[in-house]
Amino acid sequence: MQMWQGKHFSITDPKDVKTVIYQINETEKEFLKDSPKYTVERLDFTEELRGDLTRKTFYVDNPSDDEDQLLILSFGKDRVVVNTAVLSGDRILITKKPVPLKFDSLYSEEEMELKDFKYTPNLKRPICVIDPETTEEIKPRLYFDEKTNEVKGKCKLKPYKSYFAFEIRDKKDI
Amino acid sequence: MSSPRAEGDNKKRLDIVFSLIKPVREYLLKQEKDGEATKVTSYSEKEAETKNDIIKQPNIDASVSTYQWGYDENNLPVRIVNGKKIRINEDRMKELVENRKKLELKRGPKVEDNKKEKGQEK
Repeated sequence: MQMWQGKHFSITDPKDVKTVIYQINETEKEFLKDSPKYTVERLDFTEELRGDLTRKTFYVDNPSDDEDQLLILSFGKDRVVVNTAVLSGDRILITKKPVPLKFDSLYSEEEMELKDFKYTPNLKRPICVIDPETTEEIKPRLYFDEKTNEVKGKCKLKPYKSYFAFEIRDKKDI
Repeated sequence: MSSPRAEGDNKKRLDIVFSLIKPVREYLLKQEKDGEATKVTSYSEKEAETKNDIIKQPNIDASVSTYQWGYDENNLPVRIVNGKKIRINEDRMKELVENRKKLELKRGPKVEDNKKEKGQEK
C-alpha cells in the first residue's frame, strides 16, 4: 500500500455561487523548451450542502515544499470573481502578490472554435476555457498541425453563449 | 474602472470582477486593453460593501490540513481525509501519481509521506 501526503482546505460558497480553484505551477527549466512557463491544474473537491450554502473541500495532492499559488474563480450570475491565494505550510491566504494572468470572456453569434494553443500531454494546459453556468472546462479536441509539427488543441464553443477563458502568462508574453 | 463594451450586448457578456486587493487589482487591470469585449470591473472593498448588487465571494477557511492519498489495502485509489476514505477516479489517479513521481525526482522523496494524517503528527 503506497500513500502520499496532500493538503486540503475548505471554502463556503454562498447561494448561487460556484467556486473552482486552480493550482498554478511553474515549469522546471529543463522542460521550458517544450512547455509554457506556467501551467494550471484544477483541484479536485468534495462538497457538502448546508442550507443555502455549499461547503467545498479542495485537495492539493501534490503540494510544493515552499508555497503554492492558487487561482480562485467564483462564478455567479453573469459574473466571475477572481482571487489569487498562496498555500504555505498550514495556512492559505489571499495574496497581494500579482500573478501574470490574462482573462477574457468569449462570445459569438456563430459557432466558433478557439484554437491554436499548444497542448501539453500531462493535461496541464496553458489556456482554460470554462462554461460559467456549469463551471466545467471545455475540453480541447486534439489535432496535429503539420505546418508547425505540433500537437495542438481546439475548443468548440456554442453560439449565443458566454465562456470564460484565462491563461497564465509572463508579462513579456502579454 | 472598466473597459468599454461593444454596443448592444450588455446581456451577453460575462463580467469579470478582479480581486478586491488593491495591488492585485491594479496589476490585473493594466493587462486589459480598452475596447475588448470583456467588461472588467473593479471594486474596492468599501465600494463592494455599499453596492446594492453585492459581490458574492466564497468564505475561505484559512486553515489547511494534511491527508493521505494513494492505493489502499485493496489496491483502490483513495484519499483518506479525517479517517474517511474517498475514492479517486482511476484516470485521475494515474495523473496524480505521474505528477508526484516528477515532483519526487525533482526534490527527492519526502520523509513525511506515508506518515499518519495531521492530528496524529507533532
